[in-house]
Amino acid sequence: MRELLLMVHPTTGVLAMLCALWVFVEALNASPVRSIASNGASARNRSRLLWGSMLTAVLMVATLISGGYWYVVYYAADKAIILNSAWPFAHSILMEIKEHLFFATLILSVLLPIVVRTNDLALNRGARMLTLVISALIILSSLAFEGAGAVISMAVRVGLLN
Amino acid sequence: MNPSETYVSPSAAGYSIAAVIAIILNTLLTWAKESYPPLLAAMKSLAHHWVVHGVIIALVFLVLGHILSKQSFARRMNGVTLAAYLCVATVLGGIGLVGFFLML
Repeated sequence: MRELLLMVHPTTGVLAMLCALWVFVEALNASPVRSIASNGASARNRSRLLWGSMLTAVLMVATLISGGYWYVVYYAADKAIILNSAWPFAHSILMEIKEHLFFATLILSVLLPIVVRTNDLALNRGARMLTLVISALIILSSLAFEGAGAVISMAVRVGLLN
Repeated sequence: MNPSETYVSPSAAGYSIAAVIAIILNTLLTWAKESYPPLLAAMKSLAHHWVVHGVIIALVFLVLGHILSKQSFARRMNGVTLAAYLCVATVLGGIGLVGFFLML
């Protein structure tokens, strides 16, 4: 169970980040319906924006649940190993930042489908800019979390090797 | 520029402002609970402090977002301005957390 959670957490996190990247690209390419011929293409673009934004939110919530459960139930043992290792900063700085800043990314992920669903990104420059900024913030913070998670995992190994 | 091209929906405006407030509150609550042990103890008495922290932030975002979406000003919010607010709040919230734990 513990190992499964450790695999699910970064996997759903990366998938959520990729979905946010998908939304970013779709928002850049959002275009108004100009003719009957382009109607289908635009509708598909809006549909993809909706799917991408909802998947971002769902996958980020899955990341919260898997990582949160592991953190609350199993992390204490790893924390003790890290604090006694040569890399105590992996907990005292990286894990502390990661566990608290994640809430900001989670909020942005839930906000994304609200913005996409209630606005026409092809016609509304403000909504398009808002979508681009939200998805960019999700992508950048998720990349930072993935890096921090890798260092925290390595710190456990360093502690065990010592 | 036509305002209708930049004004976002009331839901998007309300929840974006709520997100700005929740993100800043997230950093402030972290500072408070890590600096004031009785607050951390009170949160631990309810459940794991991280779970309590998350529930507080989520409730602030959802409840405040719902309330703000119904306000009249939410119909006149510029999406570009909201994007700037969100960007500043997230960057400041992040810098606040990084700086705090580096100095702790």
